[in-house]
Parts: sequence; structure tokens; C-alpha cells
Amino acid sequence: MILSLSDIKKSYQTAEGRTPVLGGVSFVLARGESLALTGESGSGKSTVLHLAGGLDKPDSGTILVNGRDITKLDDVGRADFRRTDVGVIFQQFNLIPSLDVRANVSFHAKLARRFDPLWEGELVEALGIDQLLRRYPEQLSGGQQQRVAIGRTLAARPPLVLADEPTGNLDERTADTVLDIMLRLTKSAGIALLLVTHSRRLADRLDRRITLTSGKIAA
Amino acid sequence: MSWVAFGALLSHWRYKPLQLATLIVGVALATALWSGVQAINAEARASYGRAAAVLEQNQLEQLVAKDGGRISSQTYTKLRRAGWNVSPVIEGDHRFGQTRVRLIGIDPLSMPSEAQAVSVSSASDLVDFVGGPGQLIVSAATAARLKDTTSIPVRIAADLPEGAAFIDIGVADRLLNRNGELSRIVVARSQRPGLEPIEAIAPELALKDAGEQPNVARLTDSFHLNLTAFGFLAFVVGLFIVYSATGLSFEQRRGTFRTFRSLGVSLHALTAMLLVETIFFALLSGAIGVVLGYFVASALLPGVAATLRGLYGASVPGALSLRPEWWLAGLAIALIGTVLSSAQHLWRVWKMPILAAAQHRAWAMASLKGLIGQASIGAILLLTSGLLIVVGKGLYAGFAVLATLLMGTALILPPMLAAVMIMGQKASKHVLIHWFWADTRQQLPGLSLALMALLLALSANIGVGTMVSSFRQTFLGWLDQRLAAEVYVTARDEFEAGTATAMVSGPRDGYPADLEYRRRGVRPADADLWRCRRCNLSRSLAADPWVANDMGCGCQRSRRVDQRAALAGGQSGARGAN
Repeated sequence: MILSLSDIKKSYQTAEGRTPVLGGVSFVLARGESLALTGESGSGKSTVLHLAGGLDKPDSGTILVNGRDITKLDDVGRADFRRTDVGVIFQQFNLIPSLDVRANVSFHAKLARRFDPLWEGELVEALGIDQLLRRYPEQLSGGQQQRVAIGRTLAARPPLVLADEPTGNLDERTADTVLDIMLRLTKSAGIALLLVTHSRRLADRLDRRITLTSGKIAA
Repeated sequence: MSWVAFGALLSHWRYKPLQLATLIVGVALATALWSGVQAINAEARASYGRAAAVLEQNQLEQLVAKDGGRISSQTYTKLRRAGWNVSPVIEGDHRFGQTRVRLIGIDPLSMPSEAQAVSVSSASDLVDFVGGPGQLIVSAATAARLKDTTSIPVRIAADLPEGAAFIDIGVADRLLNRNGELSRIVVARSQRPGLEPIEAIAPELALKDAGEQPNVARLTDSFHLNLTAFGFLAFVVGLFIVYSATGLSFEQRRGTFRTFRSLGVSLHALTAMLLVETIFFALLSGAIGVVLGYFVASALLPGVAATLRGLYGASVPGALSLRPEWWLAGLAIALIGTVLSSAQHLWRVWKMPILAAAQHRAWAMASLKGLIGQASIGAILLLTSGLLIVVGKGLYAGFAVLATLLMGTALILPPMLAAVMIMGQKASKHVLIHWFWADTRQQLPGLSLALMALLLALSANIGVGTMVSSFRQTFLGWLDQRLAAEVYVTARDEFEAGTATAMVSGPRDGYPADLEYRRRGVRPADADLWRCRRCNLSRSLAADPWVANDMGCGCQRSRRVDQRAALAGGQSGARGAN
């Protein structure tokens, strides 16, 4: 088991008071498994992703990643966890604009001290960005940027990849291509994938699917 | 700290070279102007100190006349006879040709060794110094100026201020026509015990403590404070550039910070990297600034030296020496300034939640808290200013009032604008007007510094303009009151000036003024005109300067001209004007 969420509750402080977002979410994800997290806007999908990635802390509940309870970690511990145990792919790509594609792809791997030039070479070729290595993010299309972001995450070979609507900004055909690549590479590397998406079509292509409704798992 | 992350952080500057240039130029200029002014002040103060130590022997106690006049040689003799180990000094200005030199006449035999600014210890030196025509001991520059102007032998010594010469007290007495009257008496540190008190021997003398700040240093204090204030103003303006540059770089890298943190760079590590980056740029730019400051100071020093000489008679060398203390001070001020101007941005990065870092609204909300703090500080500064107006005294308190008032007003401006915008937003009905207020409010954090800088610049401009204008008016008024002479004479050279002075001080040998003037064979400036007060006729003095006396129009002579010319009053004459 790579990821286990137990009775996770989370609420946010707003002008109207505390607004509950998650009301006791529990699920598990096995190594190498891919899981789609779907639901309507505001159902708490991204919150689950952020909590699982150690980017935020739950109000209550336990999150085990690789057997470690990340809810008990301090800031430095969570940063260490994010560096070594998890990779996050954002909808907005979040590439570093001042680094070229090659440096962006290798950045996380070098941070995690898992840089492998051979694996990186395979990745960039598989992702179709081997001709773009000298370019900067602003010189790339949305689809190309997303592939660079995927390459950056997979180059670090984290045991768990969290993807927040990674194809949300892409057209259907490019989205299919990107997802194909992601699934192929995560499977080949034994990486677990938790993917947030609105698209039922894309969700159906993953091993499992969970739907969130008003902060709770519907099915 | 991860070198990979640090390298990625620094890559921003390679990617945005113009921003890097703005940052470096901002810090460098701020440091240059500040350290340049400090270099000038340090050079001037060191010069005063050096001059005081060398020329006034101020490391020892001194006796001076209580009335500020001279000391009779009898008083000195009484002190010596009473057993006091003292040494006489005669000093005064003397002209060798066109070169004015400050003569310091010393007695090398009685002068305490710790006050010996020049070495006349060997027998041959002593003989040269006290024997025959004497010897002038001067700096190399003064020696060059004295070339071919005096028959007294000149010896060059290092570390002597320009325009000063040590000479035997006997020669000084003769050259300065002092008839044995002393300027001051140096008191040696070691004295025999049980001596009769000086007050009892010479009650007309006062004891001046050792190490007292030289008079010229006290006189020029406000001048240097003004220079410092302007240097600081320039530094603050430079810091605004730095603040804007760092603010822009932080703003543009918000996404990068978020990415760093989501990829496992801890907040501590990120803050440390930003701090190291800030310090690195501060030191780099500060070093450039100090070098620039040296050139600024070198360029300005001759002018400042001339001003100090003209206003206060202070001698400051026109060349700048490299002093490690202001190199270090320049780097320190660059470092402190850069860190201060980056502190707010660093604080905001430190406080910003990882997931909110790229959200505009979150920054606006963070800014709202900042605005409240800013308003509080501004209010405290304004209160302090008011308090200082009531209780403060002196120049420093005045500067403190100005500083607190200006900074308080500047700090309180953005919160006030924010309050106005909130009210405008709440009061607006139309959707576009509502958007206008909301959007303007969102821009406020980015614009507030520019607005504060504009306020400060306008205030400084109005303040300095008013100050200069009122100073000019006061000065002109003072000139009108003090220098409203009937006759203004322009001398073209020293000889003509001397003749004119002799004329207005009156004939000494019973000659009428015109005859005295004619005897010397000169006439006043050709352009001068005399106007008869009664018949209002202008006459050129070029033809005959004293024909006005013989005009016979019966008009009254000016009393002041009468007094100055020492002629009998009540005669017919003329009033001059040019």
C-alpha cells in the first residue's frame, strides 16, 4: 500500500465562518495502481490531492504514504516528504520559467538526488520533448509544457504521483496522448497514480475510480 | 540549502538581465552617493583632526588668554620661573609674496616631545631651525607654493597640513610683529609636584583641555550634517529603486517559489536562499557603489574643500585618501539597505501559505494586514514628530522631526488610500464603478511604494525649494542691511585693493584724501560713477575722481564718506553710487 487516507476531514476559514470541504474521506491506493478522483467542482478533489501531497494539513484523520503518517510531520519533514516520496503534476504546469526544458525536467530528480540521465533520456524521448530541450517554457505550447511537467515528475521516480487535472488545459486528442504516456510510464516504473479529473472518459481509462460528492466518497 | 534549487533561483536573474541591472544599479547608486558623502566628511574630519594634532598640539593641555587675546611674554616667564614645564607658541598668518601661510612659531627647546610635530632633534637641524634667518618647515605642496617668494630656507616634512609652516618662535615674532606677545602656551604632561597653581600665577589665562575638538570641526558640524542628510536622502531614494526591483523579482517568482515548495524545498531553505541571494547582490552592488562613491567623492571634494575654506577657513586637502573604514561602512550600509528593502518581500514569502502563493487575492489579503501595520507605524511616527516639535531642541531634533514627519506621512498614505477605495467600492452602485474601485484597490500594494516615493520626493522638493528661497531672501536682506554703503569700489588686483583701503581709512599724513590717492599714483575703477545727491548728476571718476568736491553745487556730503575720508564735515560734496 502506497497511500492510505483514513477519515480525513478538512474545512476552510472564510468570511462566512468555517466551511467544511471534506467530511471523512477514506481510501487506499496500491503500488503501481492508477486511481481517478472525480466529482463536481467544489467537491473536494483538489483538497484530497493537496492533503495527500503534503501541501496542506487535514483537520483530522490519518494519511499514510509509504507507511509514514505525513499529518504528523513539521514543515521541514513535509518538504522532505514532497521531495522524495511524491510528485505533483499541476493543471497550470508550474514549470520554472527561467530554466530551459532540460533543466526543468531534471530539477526534481536532482533535488531528490535520484537523477538518472538514462531514465531522463528515455522519458524525454517517450514524451516527445527531446527536440525541445533548449527551449524555455514560454516558448512551448500548453501540451508541450504539460509533457515537460510530467517528465519532471517522473524523472524523480517518486513512488506516488498526484496529478491535478493534468489535461484540463489540453484539447481532447492531446489529452489522450498525454494520458497514454503517463499511464505507460507510471506502469513501467511501478509508480502509483492518483489523478483528479472532470472527465469520465479519461477516468475510465484508469484502474479505479472514486467520485467525491460534497466532500464525501459517493461510490 | 540545495545548490540545485539555489542555482534555479539565481537563473531568474540570467533570464531577466534588465531586472538584475536595475537591482545592482539601484544599490550601487544608493551606496555611491552615501559613501561618497561619507568619504568627503571623513576626509574633512580627519584633516581637521590631523591639523589640530599637528598645528595646535591639541593632544596636550594649553593655556590661552581668557579674553581671547594674546599672552604677554612676562606671564610665560612667570610660569617658567614657578617651575611649570610649558612652551610658548606664536601663530598667525603671513604673506610671502602672493602666498598666505599660517606661521606656527615654536620654541623647539622647551616644546614637549609629544607635541613636536616636526623633528628638530638633531644638532644640525636645531642650528638650521633657530639660527640665522631661521627655517620654514612645510609640506611639499606648501614648499612648491613658497618657491622664490622668501629668502628664509625651506625644509619639507611629511604629514604637515597644507598652508602651514613651523618656524622658530623668534623669527615668527619678527615676521608677525608680535613684540613678544604669545598666542598660546603648551603645557607638558609631566610637571613637578607641588607647583603653585596656574590660576594663582596667571589668573588671566584659561586652561584648554587636551583632545578638545578643534574649533573648525565644531564650526563645520552642521555643514557635514547637511551633507550627510542629503547623502542619506539620496540613499533612501536609491533604496526605493532597490525595493521596486526586489519587489518585482519576488512578484515574478511567486510561481517559482510555489513550485520549489511543492517539489520539496522547505520554507526555511527557500527563505535562507533568498536571504543569501539578497546579501550576495547587496555586497556585489555595494562594492561597485563604494568604487563609484570614491569617484563621486574625488570629483566633489575640491568643491567642498573650497566651500569649507571659504566659509569656515578650514583647510581640507583636495585629494581623497582610501580609508578602510568607509569601504566597510559603504558595504555595511549597502547590506543593511538592501536587506531592509527586501525584508517586507521576504516576510510575505515566509507568511504566505504554499497553496496561496500564486493567488493574487491572497497577496492582496496579506497586503491588507501589512497596511494595518503600516498605518500603525505611520501614526506612531507622526505622534513622535509632534512630540519632538514640543520637546526637541537643536539641529538634530529638527532633522528628527522632519524624518519622522515625512516617513510617517509616507507610511500612512497607502492605508488612507485603501480606506478611501474601500468606501468608494461600498458606495458604488454601477458594476463598472464597483470594478474600478475593486481593481484599483488590488493594484494598491504594487503602487503604494511609488506613491510613497512620489510624496517624499514632492515634500523634499517643496521643502528644499522653500529652504533655499528663504535662505536667499534672508541673506540678501542681511546684505542689504549690512552692506548698504554709499560707495562700492571694485579692485582689479591686490595693489588696487590696498590703495582703496588706504583711501577709505583716511590720509595718515595730513594729506587730503584725493592727494593721498594721487600720491600713490592710482585712480579708482574707471567704471565707477559718483552721483551728486542734490543735482543728481553722474560723473565718471575716470577723468578726475575728486572733481566732485569742487563742483560747487552746494549739496551735502555723505557723513559716512566724510568719516571714511576723514575730511571735515559740512563741506559740499557728492554721494557716490555705482
